[in-house]
Amino acid sequence: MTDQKLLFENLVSELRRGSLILSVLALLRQPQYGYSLISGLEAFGIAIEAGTLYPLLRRLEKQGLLSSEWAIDQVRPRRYYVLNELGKQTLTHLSDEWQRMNKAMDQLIQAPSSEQGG
Amino acid sequence: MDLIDRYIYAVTRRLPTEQRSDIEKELRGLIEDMLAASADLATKSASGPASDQTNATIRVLKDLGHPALLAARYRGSSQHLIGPEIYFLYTMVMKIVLLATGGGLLIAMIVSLITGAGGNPFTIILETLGSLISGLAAAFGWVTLVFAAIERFSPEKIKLDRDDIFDPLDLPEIPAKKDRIHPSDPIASMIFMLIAMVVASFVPRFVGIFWLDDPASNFIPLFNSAVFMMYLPFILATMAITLTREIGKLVSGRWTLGLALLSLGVEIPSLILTIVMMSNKDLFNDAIFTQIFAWLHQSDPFYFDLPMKILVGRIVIGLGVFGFVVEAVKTFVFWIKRAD
Repeated sequence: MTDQKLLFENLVSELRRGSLILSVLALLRQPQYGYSLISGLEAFGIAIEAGTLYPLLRRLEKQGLLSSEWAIDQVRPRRYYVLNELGKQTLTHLSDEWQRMNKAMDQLIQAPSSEQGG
Repeated sequence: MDLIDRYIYAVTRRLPTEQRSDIEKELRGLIEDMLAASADLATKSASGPASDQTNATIRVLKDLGHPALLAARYRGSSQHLIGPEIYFLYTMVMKIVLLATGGGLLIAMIVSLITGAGGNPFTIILETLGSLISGLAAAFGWVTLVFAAIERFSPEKIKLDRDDIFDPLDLPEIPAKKDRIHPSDPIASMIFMLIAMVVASFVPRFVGIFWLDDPASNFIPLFNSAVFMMYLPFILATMAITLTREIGKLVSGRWTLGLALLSLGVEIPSLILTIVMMSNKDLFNDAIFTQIFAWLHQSDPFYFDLPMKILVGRIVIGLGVFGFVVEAVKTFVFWIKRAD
């Protein structure tokens, strides 16, 4: 039973992993720092590990989708990330793809099982 | 606070120097953010503030995960010296190389013990133990270095890294039977080459004439030890280059024009070395020729225009050049066929 549960959890986290970048990009239309992203995603019911998110931000920046700057006028210095032009385009493309996939998945899941066999 | 410092240090020491200070600053801020958030939740809790803070820190750091894992995520790119695609070849070659080197050294020990050319048996055994340690370490290092280079620079790997779109039309033709390199070919060459390397290191002790002249055993080396030893590093280096080529053949598994040209190019240093060595008239040990002529009851090799050792040297050079020309012609023919 525990093995099954573990398998299930692995599958779920694999499923989530794919949508992670899209959700992060979506929030980054507004400038965000690391922790504000975590709580922002949580507000939408999306859980993300801090240890995954922080390195992901740097990677997205390195890939040229984000720009970042230090804000030092606050309680503690924070690095704010925001979509740049390429990031915005990428978000649009990814969102379209997401919609398309969502529709397809809905149909696939709701399709009667007899049709799947054909 | 101390825990946080320890955590950040454990992460940043695993990162490239130029990123350290920036990631450290960011990570510290993030941890403090996370702590502040958990403090908001904890104000309702009843336990003492000091232990409370430590507990909160522990929870936050646990959330972030093992520092090594976090650092790996920051680094992003894959972090291995030798990847899974060639790892099985690496272990295979490593086994062969270590066995052949160890075996070669043991053979060297036995021969030295029999000929008595290396001094007393105890010294020989101790020496062999010493060479085993340094020889095996060198072999291990060399194989690892070659495979790390293949991992890094082989064209196929570079393509995989760039995530290029795979085009089935780019798939190489199945090599014609004659173009295939069966693993046994490079493996045999490698074993031979390694044993040759070990033997080369002991040449002054091995190569020569050995006879029993009851009760004593006699050994006259073919080469002047001092002169030969001067060349030894170059001999070993050219052999190491050849060994590398054999590993390349094993990994490639097929003859390509590039491999054939490279293979020929690798012969050039050995050819040059052969010519240089064999042209050195001090290389050969005069005593061995005197002994041979004594056996032939010829006190003087009057029927040779040239001293014996120069003749021997020229014959070896001739053979070397001949072998190289044959290889070159084979490569050229391969090239012509490719061009069709």
